Amino acid sequence: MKKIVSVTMAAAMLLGLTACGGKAGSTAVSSSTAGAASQSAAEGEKVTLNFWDMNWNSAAGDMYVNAAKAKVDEFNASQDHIVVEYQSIPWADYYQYFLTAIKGGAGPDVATAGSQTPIQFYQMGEILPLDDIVEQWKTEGTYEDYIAGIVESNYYDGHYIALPWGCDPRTIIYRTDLFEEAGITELPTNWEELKAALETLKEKFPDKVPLAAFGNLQGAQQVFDYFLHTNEGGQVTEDLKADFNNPKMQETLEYVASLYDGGLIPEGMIAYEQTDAERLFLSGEACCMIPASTSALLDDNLKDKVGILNPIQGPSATEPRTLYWANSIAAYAQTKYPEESKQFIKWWLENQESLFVDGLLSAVPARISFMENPYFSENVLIKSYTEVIYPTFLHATYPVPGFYPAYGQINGERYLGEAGQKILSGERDYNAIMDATQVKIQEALDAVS
Amino acid sequence: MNLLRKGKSKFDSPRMGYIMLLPAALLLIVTQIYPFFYGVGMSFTDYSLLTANAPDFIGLGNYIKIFTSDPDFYKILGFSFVYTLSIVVFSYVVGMALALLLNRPIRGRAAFRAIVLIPWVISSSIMATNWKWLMNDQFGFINGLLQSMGLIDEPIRFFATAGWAQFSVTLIGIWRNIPFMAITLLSGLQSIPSDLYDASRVDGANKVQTFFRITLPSLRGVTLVSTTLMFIWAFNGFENIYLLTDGGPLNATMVVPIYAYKTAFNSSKMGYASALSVVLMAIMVIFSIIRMKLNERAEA
Repeated sequence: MKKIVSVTMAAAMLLGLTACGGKAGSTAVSSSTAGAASQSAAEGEKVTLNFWDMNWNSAAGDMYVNAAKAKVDEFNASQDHIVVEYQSIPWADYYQYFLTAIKGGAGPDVATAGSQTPIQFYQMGEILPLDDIVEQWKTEGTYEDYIAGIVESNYYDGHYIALPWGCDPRTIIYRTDLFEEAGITELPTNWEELKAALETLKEKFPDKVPLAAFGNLQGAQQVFDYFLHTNEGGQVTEDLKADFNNPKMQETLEYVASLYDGGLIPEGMIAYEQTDAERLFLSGEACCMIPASTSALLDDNLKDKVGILNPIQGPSATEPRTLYWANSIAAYAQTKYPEESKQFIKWWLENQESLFVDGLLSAVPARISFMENPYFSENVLIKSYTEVIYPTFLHATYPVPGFYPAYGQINGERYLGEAGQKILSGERDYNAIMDATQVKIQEALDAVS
Repeated sequence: MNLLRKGKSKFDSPRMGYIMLLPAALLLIVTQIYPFFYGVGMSFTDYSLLTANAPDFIGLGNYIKIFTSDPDFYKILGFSFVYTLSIVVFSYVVGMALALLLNRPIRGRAAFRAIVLIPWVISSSIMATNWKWLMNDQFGFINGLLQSMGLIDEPIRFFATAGWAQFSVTLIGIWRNIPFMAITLLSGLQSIPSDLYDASRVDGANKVQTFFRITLPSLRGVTLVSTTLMFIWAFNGFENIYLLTDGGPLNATMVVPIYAYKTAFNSSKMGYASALSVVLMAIMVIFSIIRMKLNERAEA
């Protein structure tokens, strides 16, 4: 009997894993009513805000973290009322970190996180709307300084649930020297030209991988999402109905399948992580890489041999397109100091220009005037982002203008990545793949409706 | 003498025993017992982190869904058993062979015993990264070696196809658990009285007979404990597969603990994930009881 009890206890340890994940019946403040609770700290009272910030340039070590800390120090020195405490959050399992902290009542006052994070926590009633700041911006003229549509990417349910600071585009990088050696003088502008260029590279360099990519769930999601957006396709309709089995999606699946079958992307990429694809590119064993790697762009040996491909156009698109995510900052409803949190967010967004330079951010600023900084206007690669790629931006949620509640699950569970992995494992029954994913997407939409 | 008697009665009292146990018991209650019952309770609800709504009690709804309409559950459960039983059986067999070797009076025995422990003590993340790079199809050492030896024409995609990925994670799981088996069995071997072996030699038993008639029966207790523990650890194991394949490709190497974790923290379905964990726990308890009963019958 003692043995049975001990076995039961050992097994119970696993159960603790999920049991510790959250508290049923959470009494979170509803985001829609959070404004009513808004209050400022008593006059003269010094308040402390916890600011959680992701490392937005982890490829450069602590460079971004140090620059962000310096920026926070600048804010703290600029006034006497608020002290912001900075905490850098690692990307690995960050959502679980946020989730357990917030459900346990120990979340941040203000935080940056993955693009879809604010909408996920808004659904749980854990987000403080930032409508006041946008109203002020509209009065002050700042609103017009933002890339068209990007502020609205976090507008939901009548509220601005987060505000953008940057854009995170997906592009293809390539080796300029290898392209030159292969005689490719004109950069591809559409799917067929891209495929032809990759075939030329394969012929010229049979031992190299024409296009390095990683195909684990996250990677497959990004690769297929990239091509889907260049074809002006999406996974849901604008009025939030599942739309996975549309012709643009089928074209995308067929196109990537043709790259795979033609040996233009690694046969084993379904098992690759980002580091595997980067290793191929950095070691010179690959001619191109998707998505662009910050490590490759910063590599001393490669920086003069790397270029960014121009946006390309799918067969059903009206023009070349580039997939991007809006990266944002949000305030959390648990904060005791909503007004101070908003004050800090407004300051952070308005004074962030130097952070892009000092932190070597790979993201493109959300504010147009920041791009006039010499860092953006004189750096050849960055200039390519701001001048060529930015005008072709299509938000990740396309055709929906901004994040919607089910997007967290659709993107987080990598439904597109899963469909992509089927292609990368040799499945070619496109209708079956699309129909199966269509069901999952509709279930995700139904779950939050 | 008086003082000693007085002190003894004070510290030997049952009450003092309970007081001494209290900190550990409290820690256990807070970190294990409470989450356990909380998790069981949650498994009867539709608790989702996606909404702020309070969860509804749905009775056995999650359990019914697991066993009747979850399209992935039986496939995942099946691989979980194959993975676990492979690790238990093969790590036991190889561990026994190593233990028998290390039990012999060979030169450098202490060094070999330390070397055998390496897979057990190495960090999981380092282990996973090393294996993934060793087995990579483009730049991996193993594929390079096999190709240079002329054994294969095309690189093997160890983690890219369902069959090879299942084989690879199981092989690495076995490799990682061999040291535990070897060291545990070695300690068991060293406790077998040498008189038994002397007597068997006098009776004319050969090595195989000695192994099956003396060594193996003498290790029954160690075998029961080590294989039961290994079953629980492997079936409950998370990081090996999570770090190597994350359950992919296409769920081919998905096991129940990772499935429960992803259901909880990726899909935010805490109620359903709790039910999966309860099922996992029940399976482990049932198999452990069967294992013990079989052993009791064999001993009888």
